[in-house]
Amino acid sequence: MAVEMPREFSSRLGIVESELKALWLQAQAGDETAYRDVLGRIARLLRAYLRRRMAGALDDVEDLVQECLLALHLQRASYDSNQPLSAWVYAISRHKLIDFWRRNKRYGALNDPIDDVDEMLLAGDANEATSHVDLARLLGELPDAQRRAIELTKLEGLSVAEAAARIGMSEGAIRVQVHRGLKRLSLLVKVVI
Amino acid sequence: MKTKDFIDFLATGAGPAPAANTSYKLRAALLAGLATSLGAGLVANGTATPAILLASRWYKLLYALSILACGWVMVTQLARPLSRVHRSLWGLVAVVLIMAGFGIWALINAPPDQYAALLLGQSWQVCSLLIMLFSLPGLAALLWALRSLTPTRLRLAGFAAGVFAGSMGALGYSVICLEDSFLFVAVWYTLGIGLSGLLGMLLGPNVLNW
Repeated sequence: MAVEMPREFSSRLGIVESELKALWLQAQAGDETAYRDVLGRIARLLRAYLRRRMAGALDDVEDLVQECLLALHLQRASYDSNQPLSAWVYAISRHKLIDFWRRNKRYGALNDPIDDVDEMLLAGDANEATSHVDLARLLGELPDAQRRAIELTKLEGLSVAEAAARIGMSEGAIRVQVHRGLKRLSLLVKVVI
Repeated sequence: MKTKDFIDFLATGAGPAPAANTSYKLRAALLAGLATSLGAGLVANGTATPAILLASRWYKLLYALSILACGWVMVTQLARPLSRVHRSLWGLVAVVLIMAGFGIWALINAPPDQYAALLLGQSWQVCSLLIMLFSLPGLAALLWALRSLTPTRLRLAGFAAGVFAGSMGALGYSVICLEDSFLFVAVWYTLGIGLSGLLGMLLGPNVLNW
């Protein structure tokens, strides 16, 4: 049962898909520069896609963009390189969008897709797009071990080995704490929106 | 927070993607469901020879195992964002139809005064309900496992989990079920497994959300 993909994901798919996928595979292999680059591109696709479907809640679009990005990051093990990347991204984003609507029933009447808007307008300014997510505050709500592991590896930029030495945990334990922390963040982000 | 900064946050120290490991939790749920269902059946059966081992009941075992196989494929597929369930869904439909065909064939070949006995047996009032009850631990275990994975079609995933658990329930129940009629199994076993599927479908969107 194939899910039909919307225009933002399927148009110019030949170009977008092959570029995105090549970058994504590099990122999967551990290339952080490629990861930054591909997440930025995906964010633009997501922004255009979500703006069209959140006409009554444009103020929340960027929150959902970030929620989707976090979900993609957390679930990246589930990506199978035999599948089109855009289809995988779309399946996860659609799930997040439906979840958003379910949580915000008041937008129900306003979520008719808009189709006659200029693509470039929808894409917005990628560098300035801002959400209501307050990362510092959310991190404060995590258990200490998770918060420390995330702060060291993701904010201070230590390697996993350095972070492990710093707080006297094994590298595996650090990875687990980071993953659990991000997973909990993904639940906290929902409360924000 | 700027999305650009959020992306930096995600990418920093991300390392290589972990290996996909979807099925060990599902396998654990399968074992838990089978163990509880068969265990309940064996306990209820006591010291008698389990009815399912009688040679004339082969079709019950085959029916439950076929649905179990379809259920496994559906559930493992639906545990991930891009799932292909076409084939396993059609497989499920085919299995149910073949069993229905056997039931109808039995009916055609029976004298009219046997119809009620073929359809209702001795235990039609409890069969479906007990199959559903036997499937509940398996359903709970499967939903728990799916919840920590990444299903994106929650209703369908819930249904698949319910049918899969239902087939485990049917296996356990068949240990004590003395009925010997194709039609009985085609109707009441299918209904029991379907009820379990329906329950999973109702629970899916709420329980499996992430």
